[in-house]
Amino acid sequence: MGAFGEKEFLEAVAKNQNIIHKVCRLFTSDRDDHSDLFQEITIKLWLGYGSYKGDSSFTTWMYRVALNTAISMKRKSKLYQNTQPLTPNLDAAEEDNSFGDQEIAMLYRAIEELDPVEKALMLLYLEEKQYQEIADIMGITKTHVGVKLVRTKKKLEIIMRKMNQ
Amino acid sequence: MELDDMKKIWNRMEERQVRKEYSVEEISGFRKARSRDFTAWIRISLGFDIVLKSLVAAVLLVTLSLYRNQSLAFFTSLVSLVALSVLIPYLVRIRRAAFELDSSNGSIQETLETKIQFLKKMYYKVQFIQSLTNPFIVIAGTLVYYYVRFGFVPPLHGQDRLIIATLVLLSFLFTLPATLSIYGVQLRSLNGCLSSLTDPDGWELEAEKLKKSQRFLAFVMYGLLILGIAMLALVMLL
Repeated sequence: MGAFGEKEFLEAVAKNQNIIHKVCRLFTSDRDDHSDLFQEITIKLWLGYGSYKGDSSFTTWMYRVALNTAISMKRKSKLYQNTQPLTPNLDAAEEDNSFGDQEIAMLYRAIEELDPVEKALMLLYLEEKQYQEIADIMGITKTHVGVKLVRTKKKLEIIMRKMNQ
Repeated sequence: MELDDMKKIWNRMEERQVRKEYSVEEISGFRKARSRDFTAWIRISLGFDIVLKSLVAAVLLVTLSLYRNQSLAFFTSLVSLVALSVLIPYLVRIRRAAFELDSSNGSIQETLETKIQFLKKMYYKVQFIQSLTNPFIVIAGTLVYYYVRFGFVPPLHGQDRLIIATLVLLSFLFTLPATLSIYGVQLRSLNGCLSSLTDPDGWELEAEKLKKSQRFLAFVMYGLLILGIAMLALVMLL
C-alpha cells in the first residue's frame, strides 16, 4: 500500500479528479474516449499507488501518472486523431470580455495539433506549475523545460496563424 | 497570442467547464475495470499464448508416450516439448515484466524509456515466439491425427512432407505480420514521444530510421525462416 490507505486513496482521487479530467480533455476528442481514458488513468493510479511513498505531492504524482497513461495509451479509434474538435464550454465564455469565442476555440484546436509530449508540457504550464515541478514530472531539466516551452509556444503561434489564414 | 494570455483563457475556461463529477464509489469501480492499455493487451495476449502453449505441451507429452517405439514421431514430440518447456517460462517472465511496467511511478521520460526498452529488448522476440504456437499446434495435431487414424505415423512421401511443411510455414506466418505491425505502431509512437522530449528536431528522422530497421529485421527473420524450412524439406526429401 502507498502512503495512505485505500479509503484515503479514493477520497484523494475523487477530490483531485479535476486533474484527470483536464488530461482527458486535452488528449481525447469525444465523451466516450474521455471516459475510457479517465478509467484507464484511475486503474494506473491504483496500480502505481503501491509504490507511491509520498516523496512528491499527491497531485504531482497524479499528474505524472495521468500524463504517462495518456501519452502511451494504446492508440484507438478517435483518440489522438483530431477528428473532432475539443468541446470547450463556449456558452460559458460569452461573458469573457478579454477573449472571444473564436480565440478560445482556436487555442483548444491549436493545442490539439501538438504532439502528446507538447500537450503534456502545455497543460502543466497552463496549470501554473513551477518549472521545477514540470521538470520533475517530465524527467527533464528546468532549462530544458524553458527551451521546450518557447519552442512549443512558437509552434502554437504558427498553428494559430495558419488557422487565421 | 502570448503565453500569459493563453493562461488566462485556460483558467477562465477551467473555472466554467461543466464536467461530470465522479463519486468515490464510481472511482472505486473504475480501478477494478479491465485496462485497455497496450501493456494490458500484451499481458492478455501473453496469458492466452501461455495457456495455449501449455495445452500443446500436454498433448505432446501424450504423443511422446504414444510414439515411444517410433523414432521420428518420438523425436519430433521430444524436440517440440523441449522447445515449449524453454519458451513457456520465458513468456511467463516477460508477462511479469509487463505487470511491473504498469506500477511504475517514474517521470514521463523514464516511463517512455522503460517502455521502449521493454518493447525493443523483450517484446520484439515475443512476436516470433507467439507465432510459433501455431506450428506447434500443427505438429501436435498431425501426430494426434496419425495416431487416431492409423495408430502410427505412416511413411511420409514427398507430397505429404510438402503439405506438412507448408502448413507449418503458413501457420507461422498467419498472425506474425499483424502482431508485428501493432508492435511497430506502438514502438514508433513511444519513440516519437521520447524524441519530442529529448530532441525535438530529430524525432521525425528517428521515426523514419526505426521504420526502416524494423522492415529490414522482419525481412531477415522471414528470409531465415523460409531458408530453414527449405533446408528441412530438402533434408527430409533426401
